Amino acid sequence: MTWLYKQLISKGHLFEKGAKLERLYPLYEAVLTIHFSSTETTSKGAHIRDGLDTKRFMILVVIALIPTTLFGIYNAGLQSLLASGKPTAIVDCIIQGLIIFLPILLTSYVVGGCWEVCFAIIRKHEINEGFLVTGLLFPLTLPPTIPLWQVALGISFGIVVGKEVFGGTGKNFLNPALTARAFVYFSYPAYLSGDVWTRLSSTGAVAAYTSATPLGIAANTPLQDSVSRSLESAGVSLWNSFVGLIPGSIGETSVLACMVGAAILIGTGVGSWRIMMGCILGTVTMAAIFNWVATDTTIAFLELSPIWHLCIGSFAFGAVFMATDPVSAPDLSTSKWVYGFFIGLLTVIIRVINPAYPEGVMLAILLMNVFAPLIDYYVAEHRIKKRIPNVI
Amino acid sequence: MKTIQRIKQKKKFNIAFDGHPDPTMQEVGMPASIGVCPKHYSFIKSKVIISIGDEVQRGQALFYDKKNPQVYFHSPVAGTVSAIDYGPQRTLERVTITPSSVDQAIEFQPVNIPELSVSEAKSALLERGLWTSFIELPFQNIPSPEVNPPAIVVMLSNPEPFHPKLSVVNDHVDDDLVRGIQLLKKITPRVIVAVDADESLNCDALAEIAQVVRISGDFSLFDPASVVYHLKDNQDENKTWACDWQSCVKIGNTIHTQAYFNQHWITVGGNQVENNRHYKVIEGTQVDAVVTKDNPNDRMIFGGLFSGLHMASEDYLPLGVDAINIIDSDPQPEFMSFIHAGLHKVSYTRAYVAGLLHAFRKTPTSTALHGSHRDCISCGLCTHVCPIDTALPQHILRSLKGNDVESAMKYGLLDCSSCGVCTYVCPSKIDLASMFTEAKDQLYREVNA
Repeated sequence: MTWLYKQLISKGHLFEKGAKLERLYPLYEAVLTIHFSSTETTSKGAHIRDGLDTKRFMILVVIALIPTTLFGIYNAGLQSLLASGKPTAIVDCIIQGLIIFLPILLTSYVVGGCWEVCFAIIRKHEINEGFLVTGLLFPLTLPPTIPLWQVALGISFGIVVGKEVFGGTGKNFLNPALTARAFVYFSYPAYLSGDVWTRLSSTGAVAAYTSATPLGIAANTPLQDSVSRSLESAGVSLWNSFVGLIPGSIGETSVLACMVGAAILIGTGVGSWRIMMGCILGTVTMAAIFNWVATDTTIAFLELSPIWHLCIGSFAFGAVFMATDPVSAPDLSTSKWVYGFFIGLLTVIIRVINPAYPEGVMLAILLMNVFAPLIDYYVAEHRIKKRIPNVI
Repeated sequence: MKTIQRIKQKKKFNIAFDGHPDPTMQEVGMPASIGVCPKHYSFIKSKVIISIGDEVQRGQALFYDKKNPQVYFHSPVAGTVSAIDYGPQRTLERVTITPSSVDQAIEFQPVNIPELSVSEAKSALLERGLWTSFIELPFQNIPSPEVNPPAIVVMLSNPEPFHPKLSVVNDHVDDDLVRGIQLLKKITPRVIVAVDADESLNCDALAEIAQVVRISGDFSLFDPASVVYHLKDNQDENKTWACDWQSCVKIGNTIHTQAYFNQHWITVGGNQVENNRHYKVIEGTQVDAVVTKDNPNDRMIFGGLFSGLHMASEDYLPLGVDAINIIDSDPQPEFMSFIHAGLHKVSYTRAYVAGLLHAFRKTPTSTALHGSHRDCISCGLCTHVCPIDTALPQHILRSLKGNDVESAMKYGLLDCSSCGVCTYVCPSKIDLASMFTEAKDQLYREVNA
């Protein structure tokens, strides 16, 4: 490794100010610091510093996403093989899953990475490692049927409009991965409506297999019927949706895998448990209120119990990985509770009341991203009320 | 007996760093030369009143502050002025004195503390070169003698882990400390003595004459700014003065013996030093007489690890500096270090395994930045560790970036004690504390222009 380090360092002068490749410095910095830790020392302020940096911060999120990703690959393959009526041995599922997922992931990383590098070079800022997370989060929110050109368009929009036009990671007010997802969702609703979400292999679909997502089923349940019954008759049991063996977006189906991710995030202190708990509380509260007002004449979805709400759709994924993005979430502990609670509340409202949008988490989080600074403002005002002013 | 007040805060930053100074004391004799270096005082404009070759006595004035013409800096030893060095824009770097063999001291008038009026007490301090013992909050400047402070906080503990402990030297200074506090009582009726609750000091005697406050919590709380923040009940108290225990002892001793007290206690610490302990030295001593830096890759820090001065190598101990720390300053590149479990990393958080082991071992120190500069990602760590519980470092940072000093003050800029813990924890390596200090300095200059 010393050899590689020496090679990299010896090329350093080419990227210095005034040198030939000065413009490519961000690229050089990224390559160098991804391989070797910085040897910079403190020149101002505290002489000693903590070992945690943004690279570690972001890589821990990627690590927390590994269970979800692996399970997503398996499940995408499984659903595809089931729908095609083929044998579903684990190895087959994984291979089929990789065939589905890898192109999407690569498209996301390559296209997104290009934008990131372009902006870094033109705007002269470092390439931020936050992209590693965005580039992985986005594909996980997509259905396996997504065409690759839409992935490319989506990540481009997410990175450019969701983040870079505001100045890059740290300055964005929306979660870039969700912005990308929202763009694809609203531009190509036919692909993401939640009706046909299982990729078929060449032989075509098995007649008996329904590939609608639970939320699609729930939203289409007729009056006076029970949603949980129609879900179960479609083969979606509570247990299956908890484990994740149902059709849906690649990374979003398994609550279990998300819980493992949540444990990693909370354990390492990278993700806010307050936001996650807030989301759960909000969802349970709103679902309970809906259960309470539900009668025979109201839409069937109102009756769905909170526990189902927590297990279907991308609630768990959104609450654990999307809502906790520190940049777009509020800063103060109290605001994190409020923010999480409203995400939960809005998720259920959008899911149940608005038949046009079967999934509410994405919109709920984006909406609350916009409100995060406002929540922070009021919480901060409340907090500094207690202080004796120190002003001149 | 009066009751002893308490300030309690949960320990959020409970890290023990390696290289801690032992509670043993060693005395260092008179060095070959002495340097009076006012680097520590940020706002003074020095005017020298002696010249090279002059014979000076202990306690004789060397230079004064042009902004506060009554405030003089006195010579800690008798001897010959051998050099006067100026830095950029003719700021005084130091006055160097070669001590003579006979210690001739100016004999001051005897003072009867109980009978002093406020102005007599002030002029007693000014005459003896003791005024520099005070700093005025919130800007940490030397206060003007014309002002009457709402209160004076005497810190018996230090805001950083590597500083001399009063409990180590207590036996020798008890009476002087009490005398010093008695004199401060003449300047303002409200003298607050703040002490770490964990330090084994008997403060009953002090409780008779002053308001004693025991603090339990992180070391960053042991700072006049945070003590004032936690005790104040009106806005006037924001301009409280502060004085550390060493200065208080110096005041007490100088008044009592009628000669300038030139002893200073310092600690030598850091992981690159062998004899980590307390030292009793002469003010402005040559650093070589106490400790030498053997490895050119190490860094010698004048002051604490968090708020020590950033300066090129200095041969003399700057005035007002209580600690010398020498730590490793040669970080080695590590391959893909961000995916390591991090058993040997330095971390306050649980993001590395090392973060779970604070209770069992000392955390290694070095000047490594451990990362690259990035934009703020709003992780909230700075707000979490801040000793001022209603200050919002992240909001202050944003306000300052937008040039909005009003909001910055609203969010607690002036309550900031510059402890540097926010800078320490920031994963984006943003130097919040220096930014806040610069903003405060700028404000001070605008207000006093």
